[in-house]
Amino acid sequence: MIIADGLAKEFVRVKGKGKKETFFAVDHVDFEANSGEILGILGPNGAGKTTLLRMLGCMMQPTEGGVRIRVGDQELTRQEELKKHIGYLSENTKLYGRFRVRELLSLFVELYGYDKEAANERVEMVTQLLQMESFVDNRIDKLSTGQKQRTSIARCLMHDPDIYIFDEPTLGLDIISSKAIIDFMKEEREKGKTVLYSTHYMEEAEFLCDRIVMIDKGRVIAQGTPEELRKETNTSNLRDTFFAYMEGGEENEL
Amino acid sequence: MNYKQLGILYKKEILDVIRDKKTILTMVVLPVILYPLLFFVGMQVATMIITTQEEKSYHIAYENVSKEHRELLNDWIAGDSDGLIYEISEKKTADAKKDLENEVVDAYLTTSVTDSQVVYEVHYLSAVTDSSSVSDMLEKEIDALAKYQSEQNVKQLGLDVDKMLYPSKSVLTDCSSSESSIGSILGSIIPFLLITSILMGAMYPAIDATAGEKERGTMETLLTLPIGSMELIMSKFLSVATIALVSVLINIISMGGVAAYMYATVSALSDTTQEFHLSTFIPAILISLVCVMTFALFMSAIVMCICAFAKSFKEANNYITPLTLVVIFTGYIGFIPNVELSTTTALIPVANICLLMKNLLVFKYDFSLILIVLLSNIIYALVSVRVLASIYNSESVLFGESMSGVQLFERRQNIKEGSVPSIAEGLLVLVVALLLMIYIGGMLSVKHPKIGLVIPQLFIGLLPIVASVYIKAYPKKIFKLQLPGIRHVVGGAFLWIGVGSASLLISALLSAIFPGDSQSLNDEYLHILDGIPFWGGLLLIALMPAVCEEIMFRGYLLSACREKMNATKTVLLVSVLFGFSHMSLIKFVPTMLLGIALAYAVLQSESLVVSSLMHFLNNGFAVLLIYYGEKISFFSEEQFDGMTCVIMMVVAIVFSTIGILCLRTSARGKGIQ
Repeated sequence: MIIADGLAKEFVRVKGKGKKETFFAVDHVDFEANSGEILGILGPNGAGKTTLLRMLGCMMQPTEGGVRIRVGDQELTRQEELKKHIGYLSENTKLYGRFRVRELLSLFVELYGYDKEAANERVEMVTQLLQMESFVDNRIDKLSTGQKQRTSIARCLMHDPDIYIFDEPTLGLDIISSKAIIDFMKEEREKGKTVLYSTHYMEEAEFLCDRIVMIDKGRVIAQGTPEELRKETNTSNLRDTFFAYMEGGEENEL
Repeated sequence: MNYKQLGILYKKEILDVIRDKKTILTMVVLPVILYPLLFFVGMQVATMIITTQEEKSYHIAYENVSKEHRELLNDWIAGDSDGLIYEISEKKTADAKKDLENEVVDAYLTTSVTDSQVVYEVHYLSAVTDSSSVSDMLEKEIDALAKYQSEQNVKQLGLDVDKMLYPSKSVLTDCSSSESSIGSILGSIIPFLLITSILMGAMYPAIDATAGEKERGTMETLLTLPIGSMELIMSKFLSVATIALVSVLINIISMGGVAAYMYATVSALSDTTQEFHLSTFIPAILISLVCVMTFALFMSAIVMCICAFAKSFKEANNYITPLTLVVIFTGYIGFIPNVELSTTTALIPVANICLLMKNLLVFKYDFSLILIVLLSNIIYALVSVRVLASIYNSESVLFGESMSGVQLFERRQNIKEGSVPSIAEGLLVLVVALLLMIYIGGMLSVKHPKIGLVIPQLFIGLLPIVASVYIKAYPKKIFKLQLPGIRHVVGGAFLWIGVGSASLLISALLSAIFPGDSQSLNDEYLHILDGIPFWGGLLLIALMPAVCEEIMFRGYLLSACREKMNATKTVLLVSVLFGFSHMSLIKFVPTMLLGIALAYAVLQSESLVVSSLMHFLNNGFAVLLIYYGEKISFFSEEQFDGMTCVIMMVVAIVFSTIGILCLRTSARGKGIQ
């Protein structure tokens, strides 16, 4: 399981004349995602989802708070240790087009500390699992969008992580490609892995996620299973639920 | 550092860059084709020029010249055996002058005859190439004829020709070895070519590994890996440096190939077997190679530092253009005759490598200078790698928006009205002005030291004005063009007295430590001001800098920095640049101190008039000392005694404090109004 402990990220805006203004892109967020569950992070564009997930993926340093991972009975907090247990996939994690699929996968898995032989074995296994044998020796920039998507998935599960972080992975993909990712998330959940999944497609989240964290302007505005959230706001679908919470938040602010 | 990871990442970076066709093109194909091509095109052009000259025939006419004199010259031209291959034939004309104007003939001759001499007057058109070359030929022919005739006359009298006509004679013998004369020819070209090739070699992979990685969206993929930022940066840096070095080697090999071919052809053609030992160049080549390698590391890091801020290839190209210009411009220093490697020039990046190689190729081994060049390049390389590391640790660079670029390279119609120059732009304008100052000022100062003092100042003053007009800046805002309040002026004056006495003290201290340097500095001024009246000196050394340097530093640069930095950083950066641009170790601290006071005064008063006034007071005082220093007993003493030091220290503290208070309280008063 992965735990966000009061995660906060402060950014600086320059307003000219050397005057600077700070603001929280992520404002002290707490939650946990358990093993064997898909946790949805929902919010409009600019809510701070990507910044939050980058901190969880240890790619960005939080201004305050921290990230913990519990694997078995040990708890990890060191960033480089954490990264070894996390598979991160977003629309921004593109692949090196000038490499062949096999080269790229073995390169990445070696960087996770596998030796050459173990790396080759792992590549064989994963390519079989994802049915990539037909294009494993092709250059990545020559692949189709679907093949690239599968290679991306392969890239992020190469080191057999316990936690997956998906930042809007289906953004701009067609139905078939996004289905591949969604199926993959479901399968990993069955295996007892933790999946964090951020999206602004409410419908997708509704049928996929076990629990949902809604954020707006960097803050958590609601947290719970889709059913709980619907009940609490007395709405019939997650889209209306989200609006209900947003309006509530704005009323509170007023 | 995890070396296993570093190794894997290095392999990845190299593979990634090498698999791009453009890298191979700039790294291998270009140098391999470029030098032979340049050489053969050069040869072709040279042969073409020679053959057209050879085959050319010229036409001349005579006007009112007797048959005897006409035939004499015609026969001489036709029958001489002086090795000249052109053909000059006579053309009969009715009106020679008109024909010359219509270019029917290339020249015409008239004669005036006395008892002892025939004067052939050659009429030609200097604006027409053929006409002016035939006039040269005729002049030589007639001189040769005269020489022949006089020798004949002396012989007829039965006298010794040499004794009568040439009792003395000069013969020139070039004693320099053929190696060093070849070295001196190559000394300006090779460093320039090498520096350009290092830059080009580093540029493409650097852009690819930084901005290219961001543009293709693989940066974030890389950051998901459990690798430290040090491994990440070092792998990128080492791969860029490797490719830059390989491309330099390919360049050298290609250049060497052409040189060898050239040498073989020349020695096959010429009969004189000149002794030429390639081995004499080996130490020079080895030292050069080491220096060039450290320079390549430095260049790679610098290029990467700049490209790291860009988010795309196009943007990176835009950012890198100023650097390219500055490097190429500085690399040109080898072609300037009177700029030599010294303790100062050995510290200027790029220029030091050029000048060192120029020295090495004529076998001047000054090991202390070699060491300075090598060490300074190593230090520059380390500093730039350190800067690169901090850039790559910055999340705003990795994930954030791109910074504002250099507007000077954008079309003027796309620039917003009232723009403010960026820091990069400010630095670029300063560097260009300083380079112009070194090049043009250096060239002028040899022959016209007074003009050599004025012109560089003009660059310093005019360049920022031109640059700010181009980006449509509001001059009043950028250059703080407004009249100050009386308290600002008084505050400025007090502050100057305080800072002035502090820097006088420091100068005295420094000149005690480095007596030679400060003496030569004084002599330089005395030499320049020699024969100029006091008011002239005041104009040259006080008024000009007070206007021009203020426009550049406290106007243009200060505004550029203030847009992005807080007041303290702005004052410090501008003052360090001000100190640095005086290019003297002795002057650095005092000028920086003065710079701090000037920048502070401008920020507080919002008026460039205050700092100009302070600057004028400061330099005017120096001029006063130069002219009348010996008459003022206080300053004529060589060393300050303890008492004077204490007095000056007190003056420095008291006056600075009053000055700062004046400037500050008045600012607060304005705020209340």
